[in-house]
Amino acid sequence: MIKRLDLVILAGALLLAGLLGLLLFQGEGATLVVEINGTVVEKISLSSLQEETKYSYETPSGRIEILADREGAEILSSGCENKLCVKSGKIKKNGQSILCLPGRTVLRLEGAEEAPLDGVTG
Amino acid sequence: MKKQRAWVHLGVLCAVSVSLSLLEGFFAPLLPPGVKPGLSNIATVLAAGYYGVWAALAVSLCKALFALFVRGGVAFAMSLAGGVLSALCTAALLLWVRGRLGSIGICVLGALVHNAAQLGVATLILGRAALGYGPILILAAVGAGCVTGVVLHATWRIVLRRTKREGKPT
Repeated sequence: MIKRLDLVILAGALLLAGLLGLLLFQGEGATLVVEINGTVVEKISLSSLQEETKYSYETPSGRIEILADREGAEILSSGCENKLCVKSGKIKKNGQSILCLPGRTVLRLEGAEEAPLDGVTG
Repeated sequence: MKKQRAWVHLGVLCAVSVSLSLLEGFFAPLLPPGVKPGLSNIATVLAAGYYGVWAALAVSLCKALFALFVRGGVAFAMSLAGGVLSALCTAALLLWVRGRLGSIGICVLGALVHNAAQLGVATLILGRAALGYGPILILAAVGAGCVTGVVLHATWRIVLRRTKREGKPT
C-alpha cells in the first residue's frame, strides 16, 4: 500500500505546496481587482474604504455581489449554479483570489505597488 | 466470451466511476470549495491496471460526458482534461514503476496530475489569477490521493480474489 518512494512523493508535494504558498501570498492585499471575461472592470483600493461596501456586477452567469472592506473582500451572492465562489469565503492576503468559472469572474488582491501589466490576461 | 466479459467489466467500471462522482457531491459541503475526494479515480485506476490505458481513457471520457450532461460545458472541459491526463499518468506508472510505488503513491501522483490539468484549464479560461489556487490544489491532491490509495488497495485485492488473475499494482 505504501512504500518509500510514496513517502518521498508525499513529502515533495507538501513541500511544493508550502513553498508556493509562501511565494504567492505575501503581505496584506491592498488593491481589489475585479476581472470579468478577461478584462479588468474595477480596481478598488481597500484602504480608501471607510466601511463595508457592496459592489454588484453583471457576469455571463448572472449578477454577482461583492462585499469589500479595509481587510479584504468576499462574494456574497452569485447567479451561477454551484456557488463555489461564495463558499470560498473572504480573501485578505496579497495574491489570493476567488474564482467563478461559470461567471468568468476573478476577484484578486494585489499589493500596494501595482505592476501595470498585471491586468493583462491571455 | 473473453471479449464480452471485458466489455461488461468496462461498462461496470464506467457506471462505478459515474456513481462515485455523484456520491462525491455529498461530501462537497464538508470540504474547501473546489476540492473533491476523487473517489471515482479508483474506477480509472482499476481500468488502467486491468485492461490498460485505453480502458482508463474510456472510463474518463464516460465520466466527462456525464459532467457535460449534468453540469455543462465548463465542467466537461475540466473533467476531461483532469481525467485524461490522470488516466495517462496512472497507466504509465503502472507500466513502468509498478513495483516501486504503492497504491498511495500512484493515487497521489494521479491526483496531482488531475488537479494540475484542471488548474491549466481554469487558467486558460480565467487568466493567471487562477494559479493562486495551486497550493490548495496540491494539498487537496495529497489528501485525496491518500484516501483513494487506501480504498484502491482494498478494492484491488477483492477484484483479484474474485477473478483469480495474476498481477497487482501494489
